[in-house]
Amino acid sequence: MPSLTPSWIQKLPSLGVGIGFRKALKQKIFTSHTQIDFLEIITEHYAQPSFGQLQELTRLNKIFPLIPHVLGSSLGNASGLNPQYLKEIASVINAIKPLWWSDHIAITSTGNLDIGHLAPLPRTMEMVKIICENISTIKKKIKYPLILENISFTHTLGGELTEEEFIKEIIERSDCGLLLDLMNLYANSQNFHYDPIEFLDRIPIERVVQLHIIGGHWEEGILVDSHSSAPPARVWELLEYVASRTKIKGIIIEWDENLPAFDRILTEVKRAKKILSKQGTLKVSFA
Amino acid sequence: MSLQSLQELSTALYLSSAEREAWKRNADVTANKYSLDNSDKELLKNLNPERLRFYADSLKSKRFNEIAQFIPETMKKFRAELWQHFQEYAESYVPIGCKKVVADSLSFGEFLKVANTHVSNSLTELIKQELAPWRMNFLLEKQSNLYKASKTTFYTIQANRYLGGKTKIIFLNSESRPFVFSAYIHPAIFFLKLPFSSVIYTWRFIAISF
Ligand SMILES: [Fe+2]
Repeated sequence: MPSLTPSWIQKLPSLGVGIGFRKALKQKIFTSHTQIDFLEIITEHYAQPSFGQLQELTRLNKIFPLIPHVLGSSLGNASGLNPQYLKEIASVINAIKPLWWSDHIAITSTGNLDIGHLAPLPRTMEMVKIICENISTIKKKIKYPLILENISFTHTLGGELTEEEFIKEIIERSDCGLLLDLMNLYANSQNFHYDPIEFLDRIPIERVVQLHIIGGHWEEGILVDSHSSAPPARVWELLEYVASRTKIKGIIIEWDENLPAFDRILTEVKRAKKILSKQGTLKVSFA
Repeated sequence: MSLQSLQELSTALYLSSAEREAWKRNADVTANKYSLDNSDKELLKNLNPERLRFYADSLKSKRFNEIAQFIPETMKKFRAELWQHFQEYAESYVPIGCKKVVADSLSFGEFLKVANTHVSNSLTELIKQELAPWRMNFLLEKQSNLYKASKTTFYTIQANRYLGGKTKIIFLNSESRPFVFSAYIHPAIFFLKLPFSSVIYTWRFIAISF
């Protein structure tokens, strides 16, 4: 059976397993650079950079492949993208010249109001059209391949599409790759009571480029994707499942809160590498 | 257009407890206030008030934790009191843009100065001290690009010397927390061009002529 994976995704090199760059981990990251295949950086941190930030970015870019991750562009904003914000993130990403960069299927601001975090979108065809228009605007400024992340959410605005259909429509119409966050998927499956494997079978898994894995915590009966603990067993199982279905180009351990001893993070990196290594010969992507 | 109204309304519900209360009391009134059409009113019905409250609370905690990096000492000593004030503050101001966390910290500091509720003196003093370098950094960055270009800054200091008066130089370590070093520099030092030539390339600094 021929691969369903678009050729531009097939051509992307495999980066391996890396971590999210955090200032608190900086020294350890440099000293352990041989064990970390690539880094994901928060693009906004280097917008309007100070001299020190420029130096940091240049140094990081020399040692590691960098993948810029955008948090606040608000791709789902029905009032359009903020041109100043777009200009600032574009200047960082274009300076890095990454293999790909990532953003979210979400909204983070409307008009002059910043929500402060990723919020879910109504799952309608009208919304699909709007986000695709915004993506097309952003692609004109940033020519590097864009991959989109599924977010976790505690509430929903519903809509005529299921979550899987919504993701599929956006990813395919805009010809983007998928940054599949397995903890976000696991958290949503717990909070909205569905089977994550069935979810994986319904999304365009052949478009997965990169994965995020990490753990969260329970609060008021809700599983929160707080990036505060090691990936739970179920997330590892989901990773094994995705790895058996499509060729993964990169995995990021996305630790933000409750940072453990660095060796602990490296243990998770090694575990993910082991799973990826089994992929060596996997050629067929099939959903 | 209609999705825009729905997004404006949901954002208001995330950010304002007053809007959430009004919506819980009468969803139709809130929907009409934002000119929602019937299909968007239907979408709004999917919002679960308890889950919405949970999300709104998490937004506030996230913001509070983000500004902690700029005021670590104040956070260590006055966390509970700060949190109380922050709850009120967070509903009155929402920062935006790539540098929003710095802006948020500074405006929280300003809010404490004029807060209606009692703020302990030692808290205001400490937060003022901790925010001082960030305030200067932020304001100067907003006003000018001069401080991004190390060579330009160096020439600026030299120019200051010819313009007369003393030059106060504040060094900001932008690698981590700002470290402020301020000194009155004798103009003669510029003839030597030392040790600043090396400093220039590793530190940001701000020169102010008096
Ligand atoms: Fe993620």
